[in-house]
Amino acid sequence: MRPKRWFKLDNAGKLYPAVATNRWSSSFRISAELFETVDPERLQRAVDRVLPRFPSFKARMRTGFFWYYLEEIKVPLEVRQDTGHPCMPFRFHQDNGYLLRVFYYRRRISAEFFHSLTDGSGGLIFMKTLVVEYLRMGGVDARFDQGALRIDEKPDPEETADAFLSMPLPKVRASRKESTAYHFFATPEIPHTLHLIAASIDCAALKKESAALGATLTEYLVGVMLYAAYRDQRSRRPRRLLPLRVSVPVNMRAYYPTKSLRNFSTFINPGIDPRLGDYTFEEIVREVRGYMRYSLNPKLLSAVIATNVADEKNLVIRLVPLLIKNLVIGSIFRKAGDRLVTATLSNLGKTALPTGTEKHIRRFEFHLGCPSMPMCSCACVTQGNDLRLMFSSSIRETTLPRAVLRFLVEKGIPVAVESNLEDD
Amino acid sequence: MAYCVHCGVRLEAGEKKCPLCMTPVYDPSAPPEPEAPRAYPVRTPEQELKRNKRFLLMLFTVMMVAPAFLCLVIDWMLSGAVTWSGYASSALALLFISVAVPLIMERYQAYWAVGTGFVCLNVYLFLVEKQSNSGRWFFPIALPALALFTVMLTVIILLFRRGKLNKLTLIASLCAAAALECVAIEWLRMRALQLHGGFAWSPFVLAPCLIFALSLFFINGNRVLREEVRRKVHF
Repeated sequence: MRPKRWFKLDNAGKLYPAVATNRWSSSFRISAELFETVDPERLQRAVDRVLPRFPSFKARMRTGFFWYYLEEIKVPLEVRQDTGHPCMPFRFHQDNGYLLRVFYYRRRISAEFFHSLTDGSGGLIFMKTLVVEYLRMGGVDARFDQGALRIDEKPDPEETADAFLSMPLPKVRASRKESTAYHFFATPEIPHTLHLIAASIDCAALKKESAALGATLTEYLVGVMLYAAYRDQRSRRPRRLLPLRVSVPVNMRAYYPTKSLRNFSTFINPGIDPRLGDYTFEEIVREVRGYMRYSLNPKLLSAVIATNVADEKNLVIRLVPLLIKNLVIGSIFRKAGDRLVTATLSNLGKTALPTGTEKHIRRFEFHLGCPSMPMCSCACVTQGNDLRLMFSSSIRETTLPRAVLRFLVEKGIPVAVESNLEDD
Repeated sequence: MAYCVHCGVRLEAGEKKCPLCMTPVYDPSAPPEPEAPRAYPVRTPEQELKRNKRFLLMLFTVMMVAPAFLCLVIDWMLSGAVTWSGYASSALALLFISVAVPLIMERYQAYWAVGTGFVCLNVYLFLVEKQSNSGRWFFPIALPALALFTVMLTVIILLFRRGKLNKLTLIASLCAAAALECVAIEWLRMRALQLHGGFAWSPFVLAPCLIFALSLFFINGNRVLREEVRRKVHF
């Protein structure tokens, strides 16, 4: 019998199992909304055919003496009907050890990923491949292109490789020091709750507004979120003003092309410091634009990654037993982590539909799991003229989505919303 | 097609209130259908039953602190000193620690429970030995017996978490571990007190426990029998 394959966790993926608890684990969900109701049996067959093409996704988390690692799973992944509890924490001994879940609900196919497996880009490739295979099984002439992988091809070793280790890294390391950021007032919900508010935004109108300020869509949206936080902090009249930051994940594939389906992203934290004085919305967008254009260059980003990779390569750190590593990483994450940012905005960008699927896929959706602190995360993906902005949180208040979406409406941008909030 | 009167956003079909400001949908020309399908599945009520750890911890703290305090007060009032209440309150304190620590911990709760239980019990027994002047029995008997039981329990938990044991074999393993522990205690006692003449009481515990454990392992190996037992004793 062939021994089970195993994979080392990538540099970014090493953090997530160390900080995962029964209440929280870092995850995200990518969905494809079709024009027809999903057939669960066909979806199950499609998953069975597609998953072997993604060997690093067909794996369970195992505990080594020094690091966690992924080990191949031989039992199939079961698709399930979606529940009202999206992005529940992953527990490594449940679901046959899978760190990936596939759901169906009416016309939507969803896949949830534990963040150690992959990032949003890798997840989107999996979802595109799955949907193409699902449609092909239904007799649709869909092609494995625009990101969807051919399932009759053997997995390329580069797809399961850690791209962080193959990219050129400078000897200079970027500092990680940042102070605590302002957070919206939040009442935590009971554990395992994730409130979703999904907004469909007219992309052309949004682009016009952002272009008027010389900003990209991401810069504009970050500006809106910061402005919402800025106004909220001012209205509360705190004794001490805190800086406002929005964490923006950056896909490193844009700078170092790779076929890797593992994590290959870092993040930057554009923000403003209200202690310096009053800001107008235009000023905030200008600050964000300047910061992002300065930070988003391969040299500075690789310096940030060099810091993380240096830790992973440090002989002393490598020789520390996993249990102690977990305790240290956990305490650092609790002190830093989400405390340093007011909110998160993850923009997956513009997605192209695989050929032949245009009449079958209505749109893709992307949202993050519950943040580790009582706060709101935001993710978006664009398809055609539809920018799908999704807010996820496990708090009662809807301050951030309300402020952001009302602001866009005030600017004359059409917004349509739906949610998973209870009616009562 | 309805719009929120406060936020100005368009509300998709199925939304009965604005998710941003909770204002109910008001569209006289198209009142919301009560059974209209939602865009996303909504939260189910069973989630409300999830235990609230903080509440449990507070409740447990009160349950432990109140009797401990009461014991100390009564003892002080009756004898003017802390005599018997020391045992009671320190036992409650150690019980509190051994329960609260795993409850606070988010991960490896079972291992934390075994670890803190081992430490607390050792501390308690050591203090009892020191206080009672009943001879030296902690290091020769209590400590190795507890260490053996902790090791056995840790191995069983590890096997269970790795999926090597199911509920039936878990009970069997615990039973066998308890029987072996009894033999170990008697052997340690004989060695410590330099008694000769073989085992007196532990074989009477060992035999039924081992028979019971072996029966469970046998049932577990037989699929039909296992299903029958599961059907009969499920709750």
